[in-house]
Amino acid sequence: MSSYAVDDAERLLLFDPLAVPTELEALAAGRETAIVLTAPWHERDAERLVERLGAPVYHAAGQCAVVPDGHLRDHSRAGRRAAVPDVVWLLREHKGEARPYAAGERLPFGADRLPGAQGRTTRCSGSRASGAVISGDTLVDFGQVSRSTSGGFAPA
Amino acid sequence: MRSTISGRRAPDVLLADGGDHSYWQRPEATGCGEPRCSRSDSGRALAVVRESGAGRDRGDLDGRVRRARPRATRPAPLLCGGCPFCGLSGFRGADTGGREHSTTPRTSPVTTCLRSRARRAVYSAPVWIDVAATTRSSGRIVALARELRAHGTHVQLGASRRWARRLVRTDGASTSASTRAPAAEPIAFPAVHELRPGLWHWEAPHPEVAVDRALE
Repeated sequence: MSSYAVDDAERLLLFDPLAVPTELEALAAGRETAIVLTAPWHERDAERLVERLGAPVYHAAGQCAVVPDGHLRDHSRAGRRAAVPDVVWLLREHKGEARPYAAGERLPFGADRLPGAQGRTTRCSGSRASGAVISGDTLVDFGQVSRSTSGGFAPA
Repeated sequence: MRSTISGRRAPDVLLADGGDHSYWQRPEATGCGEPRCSRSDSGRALAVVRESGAGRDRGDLDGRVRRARPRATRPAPLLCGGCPFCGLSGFRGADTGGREHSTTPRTSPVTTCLRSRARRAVYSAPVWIDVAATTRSSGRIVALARELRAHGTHVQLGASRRWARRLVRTDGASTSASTRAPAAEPIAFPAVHELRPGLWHWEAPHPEVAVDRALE
């Protein structure tokens, strides 16, 4: 499970953070830190980081929504089959600052959200920062092998 | 379809983490009238289970499990030690592109319960520990799993299909006490790599895998 961090000496962006290394957490203390989720199901350690760092969370809008039963419903094909509680702590319990972003939108820290692959079950976004593209789950092989290339990047 | 198990046949189900896709909710928070706790209460749930652990009468873990229908969004409530809590087995297969989402049975903990054998002592039935996509509780889970094993408990980890396959293999197997030390060891993750100035990449195993390795 890949995670990325981008630092421009003022801001530190944590992409799909899981088990953030201590050196990066230490760096975050001196930076304006934000968490970017390429997909809502990549929340991973985001909640804990929000608690510790108070960082806002940028997440892909339109991929999930609060439904009356209090869960989040993913509008992907898989999500339509069942409600899921992705980032429920953020959108329903308001434990952090949610900043939804849409495809084609330029985020305030200089990253562009690119439309994700139209896969069979997931809709993912790519986030470009520091000359890199973070693909999230866009590059996933849903064939027999089920090989994930999540987290790849390429020059923008 | 629902079924009820109570008394000595009540299963031991522990959602130790309550991470991304399994959580606890309080009934007053949901208004659904069912016993839920917020995921932030997972520590409390842990305490409840621990307090009702070895040396106590089995009655402390008596409870009731209602089986939700397959893929239901309703959780399976479990009353434990007088403290109502339940687990929503909604493991979504994080980082699997949703592939496991549709195939992982949402009632897996209850399925575990239904497969539990009549117990002879506290924790003699398998305890299912949910390890979701967060590392927050990894060390705690390892410690708890070892503690349970030290008391002869058969511990099941995770909610993925891998876990489900393991369950099929181990269900009905004899329970053996572990002689491992109960102390938790930190789970080591690979170091961060600076791909270019200002751009870092690191990889961490899925928490279920990490905990599994730590227990080996």
